[in-house]
Amino acid sequence: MTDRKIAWALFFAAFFALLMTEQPVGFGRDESVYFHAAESHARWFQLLVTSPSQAFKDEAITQAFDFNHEHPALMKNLFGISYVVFHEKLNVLRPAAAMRLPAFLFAAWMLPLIFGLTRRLFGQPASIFAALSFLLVPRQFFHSHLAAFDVPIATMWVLTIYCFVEALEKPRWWIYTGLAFGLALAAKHNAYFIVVTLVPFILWRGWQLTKASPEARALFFGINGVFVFGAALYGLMVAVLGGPKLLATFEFQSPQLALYVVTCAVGAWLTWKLKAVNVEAFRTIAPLVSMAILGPTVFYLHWPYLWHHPVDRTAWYLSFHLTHNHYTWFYLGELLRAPPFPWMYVINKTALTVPVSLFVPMVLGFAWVSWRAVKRQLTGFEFIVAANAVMSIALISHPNVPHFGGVKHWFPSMPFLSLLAAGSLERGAAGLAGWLGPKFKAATEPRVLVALAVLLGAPAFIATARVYEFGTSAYSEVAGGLPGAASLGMQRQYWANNLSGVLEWLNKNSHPGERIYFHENHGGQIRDLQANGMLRKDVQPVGGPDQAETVVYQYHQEFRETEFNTWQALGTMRPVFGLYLDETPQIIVYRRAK
Amino acid sequence: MNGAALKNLSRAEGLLLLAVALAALVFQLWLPSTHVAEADYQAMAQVLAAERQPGDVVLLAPWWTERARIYVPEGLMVVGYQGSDADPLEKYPRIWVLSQPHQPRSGIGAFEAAFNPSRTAVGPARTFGNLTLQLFTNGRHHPLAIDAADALATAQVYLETPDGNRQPCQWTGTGHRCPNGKVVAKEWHEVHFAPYQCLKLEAPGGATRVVVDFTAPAADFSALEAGYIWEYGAYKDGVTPSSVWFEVNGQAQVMELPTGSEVMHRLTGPALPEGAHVRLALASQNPNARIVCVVMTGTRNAR
Repeated sequence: MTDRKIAWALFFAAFFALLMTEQPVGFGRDESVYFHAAESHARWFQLLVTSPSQAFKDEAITQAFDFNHEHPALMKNLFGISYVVFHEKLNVLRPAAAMRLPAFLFAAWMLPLIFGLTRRLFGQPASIFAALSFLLVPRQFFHSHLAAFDVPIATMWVLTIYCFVEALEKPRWWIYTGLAFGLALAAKHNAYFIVVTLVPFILWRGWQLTKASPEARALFFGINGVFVFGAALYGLMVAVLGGPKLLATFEFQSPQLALYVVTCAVGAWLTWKLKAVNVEAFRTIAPLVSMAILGPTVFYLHWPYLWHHPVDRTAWYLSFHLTHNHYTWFYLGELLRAPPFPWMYVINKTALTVPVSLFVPMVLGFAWVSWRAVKRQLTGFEFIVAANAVMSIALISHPNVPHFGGVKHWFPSMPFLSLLAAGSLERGAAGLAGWLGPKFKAATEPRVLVALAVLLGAPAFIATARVYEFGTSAYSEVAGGLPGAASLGMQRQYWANNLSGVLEWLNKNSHPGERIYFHENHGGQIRDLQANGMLRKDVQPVGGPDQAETVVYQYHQEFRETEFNTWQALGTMRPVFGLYLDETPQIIVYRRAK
Repeated sequence: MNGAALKNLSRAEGLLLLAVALAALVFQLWLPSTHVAEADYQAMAQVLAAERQPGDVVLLAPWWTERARIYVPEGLMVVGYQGSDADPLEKYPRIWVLSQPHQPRSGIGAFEAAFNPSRTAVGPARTFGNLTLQLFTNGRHHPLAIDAADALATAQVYLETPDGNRQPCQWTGTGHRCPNGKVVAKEWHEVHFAPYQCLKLEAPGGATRVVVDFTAPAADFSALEAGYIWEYGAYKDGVTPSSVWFEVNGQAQVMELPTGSEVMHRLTGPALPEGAHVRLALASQNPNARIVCVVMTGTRNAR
């Protein structure tokens, strides 16, 4: 089978797997916010069709896009359009599934991208293993269902790297790299760090390729010089004017914008001249210049909220994420409330949540490229893979970076670790086949590889199948599964989507109009559960245990006070029902004592 | 590295992957066998219902196996929180340890090291599938003479300024409502993951103290524990330390609850003579987030 066919097969398999397994997945706190924002965006797109002149006005845009403007609009636009088309117009999907459909597409797209990148180093079976392994991590499979941004940004990150790698060899891909980077910026703010993984490689390769040609070297210096000079001038402006004044005077006709335009124009012109002198050097540098120009352009164009106020709203957006809150998080028996956080948190959390049969080949794969780096045998591609495997993990590992969110914030590292795992699989299979071959004729290398891949994937598949809809609770064999993680003192769950595990009981056992306190669930989640037929519409959500006949408590160490308040308010310490995953309490239902 | 060495390395890598895959597969297939069947919980509950005595307690091991709460007969206290292995449970003469030793990382060895000293097993352990039930006598038991939270209905509660001026708080049937709107009551609260049914006191602010004043029966020992509830102990900004007074017949001890401290603090008091006049008080310069759970007990030697 050709690589192209396999890539498509992976895409469709992933897409339908996600679509078919979507229904049991509850709505996370953030997902319900995105549902609401997406619907608001969709109404604006409908206005754009019916009344374009009205739609372009600042008031209409602000009304539609102001809610949840701490995240860019790409995914919410797609969620909203999908909702209108597949639920409101065609009525072929329930509201949540229609909203989530674009998320499935982005998650499914990840597999052919991983496959394509892995094929640069390894054979088809190992590359298929790498691609599938992304969805065999229970938490990743869970997040792939959500109308959220963590998996889409991971996909856009990998897409950008994919395009960049292609651009080194093929014409026009430098444009695609810039566009892909723009889409990544439009998906989530993690995208800014893609550049960090590429710049060292581009500078090194550009330096190597222009060695022989003084003209190419001069252009190489010129391109870098223009952008460095532009950045220095911005620095000077900040020093002279101060940040707030610089932003306040950053208008369409201002030196600030002119500097950006001139820098990009001169940089682009020099890069174009380089093409005539040294095509390989051009193909190395052009993607970065393209990212500098097309990235912000796509980012600006995709988000109507920026159209009338590009600078101050972008500045607010960046500032929001630079000063993000720290949420309390349970880790090894302690509540992490504020920085500095443990350096090893990310690595430990990865080891405790990624199935060990996938984690070990990832570690061995990374060890392999590290060893090749020490031996000075590392190829440029391997360097890029290793840099991207490390980037997000290293970034979140910094003790001052917010540590909540389980593993989702370093998802962009995982596809590259999957790629490296494929190498371990291939080497290991070759080693086993070489050992077993003389003893058993059937033990050919391809067969051993497939068998080993199946064996490595099987435990991860079982774990995923058992807990994927409660993915934020999943823990690996190293942790001892969910029970082991509970004993270790790890965060039991987050995002409050596990409520879905007790809805059937509530629907069956609540009396009409029962007053229920849904701990940690906001009104949007309850609204969405009712709108999607998952929760009876007559139950009345209330604001606390005191007003409730029934309390649905989400087990978190940082919220034990709420459970004990429930004992106090309801006059009982005895739950009536609960979601207990592998015996670990997740959602606990209390009823007022008669 | 030569070809032979590479070959050996690849073989080792393959064997390692194979071993990890098989171990993980065995784990995933075995894990569901650690679940506890509903029927086993019911059988355990029947034994508890038949053999329980007043003052018994059920202790969970591992501490998080709280699904048992659904099944343990009503009125029988169930204890399970991070750190409960070492809880002296001194109010309780007998302890039923309900354990799930087959859980991954169950830590039964560590549990026994913390729990077993001064405890004596009574009869054989009963097993119900993956549940094990074992009764112990509690050598750390001290009969309770008084718990200040239980004395609240008959106590006098008031706000007291440094010059001795007192503003009484009114008994509402469930607690004492003070002139500043705060209520002193017996409530369940969390201090560092553990549940306490305690006196909830809220600092009035400034040098004013909220005081609980009552008469206690004779006791061989007395102690006061106090800690900020929920996350308030973790606060460092916009809060001030609190002082907790424990006064017996005019002899006062003061304990400071510093900011940023989430744990329960303990003060050992004197033996209480019959009819001891006990005053408990709380003050903090800034009342913000200074809600304190106070457990004051008088206990006797076990006979």
